[in-house]
Amino acid sequence: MGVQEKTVRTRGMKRKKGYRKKVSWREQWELMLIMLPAFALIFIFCYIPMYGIVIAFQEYVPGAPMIAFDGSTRWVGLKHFMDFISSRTFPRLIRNTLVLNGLNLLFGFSIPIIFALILNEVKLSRYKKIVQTASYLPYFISTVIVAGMVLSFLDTNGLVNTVRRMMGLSVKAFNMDPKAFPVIYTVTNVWKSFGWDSILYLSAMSSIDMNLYEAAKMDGANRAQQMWYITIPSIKPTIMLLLIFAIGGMLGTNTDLILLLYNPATYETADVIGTYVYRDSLLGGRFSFGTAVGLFTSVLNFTLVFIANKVSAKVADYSLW
Amino acid sequence: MAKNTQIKSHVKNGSRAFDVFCVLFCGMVCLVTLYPMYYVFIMSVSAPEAVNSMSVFLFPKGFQLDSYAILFKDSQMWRAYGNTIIYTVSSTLLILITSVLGAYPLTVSGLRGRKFFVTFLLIPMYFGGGLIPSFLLINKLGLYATRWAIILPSAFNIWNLILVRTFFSGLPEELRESARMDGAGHLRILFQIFLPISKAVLAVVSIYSIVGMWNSWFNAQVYLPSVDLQPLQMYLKRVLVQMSVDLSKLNSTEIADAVEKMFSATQLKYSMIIFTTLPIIFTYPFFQKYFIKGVMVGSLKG
Amino acid sequence: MRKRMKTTAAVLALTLLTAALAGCGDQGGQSSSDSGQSSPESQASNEKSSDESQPSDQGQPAQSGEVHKLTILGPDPGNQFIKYEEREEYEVWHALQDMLAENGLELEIEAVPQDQYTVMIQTRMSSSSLPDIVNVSPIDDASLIAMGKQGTIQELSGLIGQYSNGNIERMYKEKYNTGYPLIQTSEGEIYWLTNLHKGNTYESKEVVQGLGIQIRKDWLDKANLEMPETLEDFTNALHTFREMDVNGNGQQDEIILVDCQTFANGLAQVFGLGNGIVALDTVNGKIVSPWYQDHVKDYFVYVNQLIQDGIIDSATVGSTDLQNQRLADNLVGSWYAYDGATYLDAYVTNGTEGVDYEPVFTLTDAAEGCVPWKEVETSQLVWDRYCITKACTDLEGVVKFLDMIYSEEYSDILTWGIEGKDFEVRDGMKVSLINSMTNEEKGAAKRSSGSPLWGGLLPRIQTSVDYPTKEAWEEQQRTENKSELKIQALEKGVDYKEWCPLMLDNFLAMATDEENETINRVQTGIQTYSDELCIKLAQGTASLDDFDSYLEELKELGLDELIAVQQARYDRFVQSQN
Repeated sequence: MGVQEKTVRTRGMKRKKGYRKKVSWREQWELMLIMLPAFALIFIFCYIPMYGIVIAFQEYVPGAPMIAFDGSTRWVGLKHFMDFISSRTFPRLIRNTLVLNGLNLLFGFSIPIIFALILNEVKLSRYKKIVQTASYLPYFISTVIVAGMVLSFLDTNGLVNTVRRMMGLSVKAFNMDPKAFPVIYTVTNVWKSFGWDSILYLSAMSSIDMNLYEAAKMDGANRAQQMWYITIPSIKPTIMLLLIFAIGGMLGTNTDLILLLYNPATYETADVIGTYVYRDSLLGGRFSFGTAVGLFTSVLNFTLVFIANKVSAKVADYSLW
Repeated sequence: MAKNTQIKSHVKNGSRAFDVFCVLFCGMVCLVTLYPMYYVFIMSVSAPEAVNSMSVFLFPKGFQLDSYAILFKDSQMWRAYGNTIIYTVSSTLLILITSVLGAYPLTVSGLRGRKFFVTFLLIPMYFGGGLIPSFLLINKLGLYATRWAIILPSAFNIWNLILVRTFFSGLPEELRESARMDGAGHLRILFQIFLPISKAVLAVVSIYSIVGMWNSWFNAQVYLPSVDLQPLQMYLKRVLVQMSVDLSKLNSTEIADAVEKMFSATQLKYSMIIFTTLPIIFTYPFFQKYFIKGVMVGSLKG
Repeated sequence: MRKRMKTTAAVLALTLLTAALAGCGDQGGQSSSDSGQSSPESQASNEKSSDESQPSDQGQPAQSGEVHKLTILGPDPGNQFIKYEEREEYEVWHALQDMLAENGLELEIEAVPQDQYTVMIQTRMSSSSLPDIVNVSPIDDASLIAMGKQGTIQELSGLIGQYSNGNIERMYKEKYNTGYPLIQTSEGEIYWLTNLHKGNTYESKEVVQGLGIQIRKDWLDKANLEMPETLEDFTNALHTFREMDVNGNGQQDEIILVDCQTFANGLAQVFGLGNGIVALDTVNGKIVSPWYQDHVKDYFVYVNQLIQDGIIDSATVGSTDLQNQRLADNLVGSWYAYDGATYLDAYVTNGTEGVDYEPVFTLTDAAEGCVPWKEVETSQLVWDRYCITKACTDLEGVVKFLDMIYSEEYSDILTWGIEGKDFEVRDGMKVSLINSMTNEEKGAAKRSSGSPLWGGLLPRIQTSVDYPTKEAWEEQQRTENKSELKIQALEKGVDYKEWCPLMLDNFLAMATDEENETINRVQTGIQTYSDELCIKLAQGTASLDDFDSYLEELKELGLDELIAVQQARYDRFVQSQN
């Protein structure tokens, strides 16, 4: 057993730092030239427009230059940030955002892995393909339709309530119940995307060396053991990669879906930063406020990625950097 | 697969039960996930009355193909189809190239400034300048209202680049080292040694890009004012937007037209979804074969 | 390995090819590769070729011999039957071209699909490539004024004074007398002009479009009930609908649709409540909030009872999808709409015959001493915004264009179409010949007034008819397929005193910078809290016992500030009217 584990370990893990010699300058240039197309495009299309962030610190009006040196720009410093943080709804927005994302992290993250692991064990190859194709279909259906479908299922005369009625339970308007919202949101989200999210794991599993399994079989490992000692360690870098980014998305939510599923009755658990900014932007002319809130969440998210990466490097020996 | 028989003799009952469980579980999943697409389909062929009352759940109620007929007759729609194919194919190929080229050097141990490069990649994933500066840039570059405004900003994808990098760094370092010994340049190592064994990740990146591009509309909304160059998703979106107009915000002279539009869109949106997603669904199995079977990386080692 | 190399090479070649093809196709389609301008120009050049032929056809070039060329950017009106892209086939479009030619004007119009327009305009205004005239409706007042101050858009009052033949002022000051204060800043500057709409009058009284509760007349008949006049009658009717199962589907599922997350739902007005978080009390000339009004608690008690009785299906609150579903399924006994709306019956699509929604006008005796209000779309409407950008150099031409727009002749083709074909003048009153046609029929026959064809690209100046007698007006309404009950409701609305405007903005003078600042700061917070509270009180998940604490919270969120700001704006508006 131990032997296989080690074989797996050595692949996919970074080499110890001491092993690394700096490459020669000639090689360095060669490598940088190879990188150039990608990095140049990123620089042009991502970095050049980044000056737009400054409007978070001003009272921006469309049509005006974002950075003017003639004094026409109205700088307001951190005013928009303060407005947001000190607003009376702020604690609730943060709480809801974290709760919905926490749930999503718990289920939306683990279910694709579990699904991929189980699918990987299916030996009927045609069946496997069909299941996989089916699993990722919901990803293609526009959020508007999915939300409409979910609401009609949960409707007082929809599928769920029909079943409840047959079981002798009372009919409930789930879409108006703040307690039900996190569940509805999480289930819809997971349903829509778990198949799609599992693609990456399946692809990672496909690259596992079959010899490892055979050796394990020789050692008498059963299927569950093989899964635990070979498959999971092999896809660990992929898991860590996705986990780090999932944690770095803690303050962003699937705003489109929430907007379609929530209503004032469920604000209590459904109103998140994204939806609040959306409603605020309907007032018009709130570019600066929107940008400030966006920047606020970006900074926090980026910090989270950073921390997650540090932890991952320590605990799981996987690091982005 | 031949080894299966061998294993059965080892741990018979447990394994068979496990197999059955896996198959059943996947069958359940299949049902749950096939349903929405099926739902959209039966809505698209049901009688409009049933669609309006949203009473279609298991079987179509009534049958008609009128909404498909409307779509088929729309020449703008076919042009949009063509546009989407152009955008999808070109940006997918470009993304493959940029991701591979961008990712490889980051996996060479001893590269100077690796931390800087990775940070350079990560920052734009979280910070962006927003709509207006991007628009001004596209405008300055002379790309506004051209196809390039869609293709160039989508010629790279940082997430895909990171995926490829993660995959490459999982490949055995010896592969590269031995090639270096033979005096091979990095570009050659990349194309001749790394890429052939990276089909799985390339397939994933392709799927991600194809689907991403096929479903994208935002850049088109901002950079393409003329309908002639717009992709398919803009059409779908137009239908969905008509549905969701807030009637209470309209005045009495506008409301009757809006209601008319809303009614015509109720069913159209379903046939539109079927129509726009079918091609993309059928491309999937093509890429699937590259990673579902399993490429035996290990066997190449020797 | 060799094979692999080949594949790679092929892939590379294919990429370049596709990219190149994409580029080529692109250049083929575009007449110009000039930065940022290619589409507007190519579109404009199409436009030009059609327009240029116009003057020569007519053989009447402008008298001065000078042609003013103007560029316009606006949203494609997007009518699904009367299509802007088929405009050349409409006679009324050629009438517009003739009118332009007579005035020595030539337009290059860029029409952007409506769903893109908001984003498009926000970004385009930041660029340097702007057309002369832009529909800037998606941008709010405060931003527009700021843009005016920094010169992105031009101040108009000076231009109008210098070049105008007086049409613009005449239209705004004489015909649409409430319009000017709405487009004038406190310093007297004008940065944009608007659509103008005026409803019909009879006997010199303006016919307003009231909103109110509509009830299924066919169900009332079935249940042998009179049209309800008091709230009690109404409630009883709703109960009877259920008890009798008037839709005959075997279930007691007849409901009423009430958007109880807002106050603009008809029922709140029955209790004399305003129609928004702040609303205008026209009788006293005060801005009020329904939260402070007398019968607000009575209203919530009533709504809560309806929900408990199942007469309001709480699942439908705030969900258009589910509301439409209930309507389609023939479950809805009553909902809220324009009194004169004729499209409601079409919502019921499950094959039921004889669907007949009719307005109850308003219900009395909701509570002790309670006078019902009526939400009303006033006869004069001022909406959308059109401005002149800094890119415009032909100022004389642009004012000439605006003078043409704000003229009777333009208004006629926009509202009515072509005389003799689309409308006639009988006894000095205009009578439409195409009003009874559906849009589909109009589109097939290529007959339409200008409004659906180009409204929004060019301003809409909609005039009306002044009917000398009530009877003449009624006659006209009947030709538009309005039922007697609807006509009666509209008539009642004419004389009704306790009304509040649907578009409050049409009664508020333009906000100052500080006022905008306040509104922007407090509005979303109050809206969120108020919507949520409304629905919770209606559902009974929040208790009326704690009402004072809710008011505390609303004050904390800035409700009083908001009222004060809107009151100040209203006062300025009234002042400017005198």
